[in-house]
Amino acid sequence: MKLLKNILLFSIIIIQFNCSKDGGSENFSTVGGGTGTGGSLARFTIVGNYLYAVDNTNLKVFAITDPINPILKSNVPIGFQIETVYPFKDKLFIGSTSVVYIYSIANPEQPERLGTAISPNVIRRCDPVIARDTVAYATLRTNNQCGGGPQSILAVYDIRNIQNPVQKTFVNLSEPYGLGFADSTLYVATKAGINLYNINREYNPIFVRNDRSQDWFFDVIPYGNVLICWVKDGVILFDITNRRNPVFISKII
Amino acid sequence: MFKGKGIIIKNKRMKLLVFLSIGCMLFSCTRAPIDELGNTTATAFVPVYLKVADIQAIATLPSQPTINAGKIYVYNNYIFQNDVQTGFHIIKMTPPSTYQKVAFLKVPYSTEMAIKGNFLYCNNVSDLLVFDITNPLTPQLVNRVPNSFPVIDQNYPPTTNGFFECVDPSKGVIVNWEQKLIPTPKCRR
Repeated sequence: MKLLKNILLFSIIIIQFNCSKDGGSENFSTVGGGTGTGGSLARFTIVGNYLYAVDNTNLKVFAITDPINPILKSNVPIGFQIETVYPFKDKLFIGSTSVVYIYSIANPEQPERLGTAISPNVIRRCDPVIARDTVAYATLRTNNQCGGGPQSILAVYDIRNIQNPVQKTFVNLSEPYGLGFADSTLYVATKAGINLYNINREYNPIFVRNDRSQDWFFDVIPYGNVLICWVKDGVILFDITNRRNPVFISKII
Repeated sequence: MFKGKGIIIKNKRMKLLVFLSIGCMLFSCTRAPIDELGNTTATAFVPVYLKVADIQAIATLPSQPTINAGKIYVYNNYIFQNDVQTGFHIIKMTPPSTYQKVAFLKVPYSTEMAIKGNFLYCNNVSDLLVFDITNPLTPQLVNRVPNSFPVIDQNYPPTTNGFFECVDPSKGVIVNWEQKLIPTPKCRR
């Protein structure tokens, strides 16, 4: 019985590890001069002169005013099974397997919780989240690794009241991971290719097409006219001069 | 009471239950096999050690094939892709047509990165590293902030209520706990 328990616990650990290691994407917004861009599944992000890092339970804030000498400024308990951190204006969206936490970093050294976004559709999942202006998109993936119900979704939240995000709608899709947008096109990495959505009407994404279904996508970073994708065996690059019609450039393995 | 005949199972369902129970018992026996030396073995958590020198074996190498593709990050026309737990592929983008690996930054047990102003921050087991990437082809390690992300417990496995292989700090730093069949583990939590 103990063995069984151990196996179970171990499986849970594996699940968490699996959740945390995959996916990641990023929006197209800038996060400060000379700062790079990561993915929606990143655990590190830099905003201004601060490096924010999430482990499984905590958010750590390092001052990098002197870039060579990071100094730990605070260590904030957030919750359990934290997986991602995503910068949005003076806020951080922190994804866990059960809820998205929204923190203000108006005081960059003392993040303060503003609210949480919870989807009524899925109880447990891996959920990277991105945001722009008044809307946040999260993929809520349910599968053997992440638990939850039978259907994965792309959830759309109205974040006009940041303290009380409201899920406006959702779109069913199969095993999604990270996501990112360029202008009014949303790119969602999935186990079978990349999904494109028209987000002209921000709360009503409309499926446009699926591309390269033979590849397992984990994440996307729109970077100018190039879409950088993390796939299972390396990186795939698309030219997205025409946002809705990605043209394959190359695969780097 | 049983008239000297032993227990006679008449009910078919009951028979099936007994049959299944015996099956389960047999199955459960396989959980504690005997190894080739005759020791009873058990599944237990075993620490995975790495010598400090191996953990800190940071190097810039020629570009390498991707083994276990990890997270991506982009900075000034360079893509960095983590190879999970081994380091970072550095890919130069020269639009519109040339995109190629130019180097591999070996950082054992790394998974995360972020970059600002020519400084790259990443994890190395539990330490935070700072690299100067003014020349992205030859990143220079400029600082190590020890114990910034103490995620792997150095004393106990990730679960309680079970046996595990006792920790021997002389073997190095624990970078992972794996479950394995080993001869009777002695430590318990």
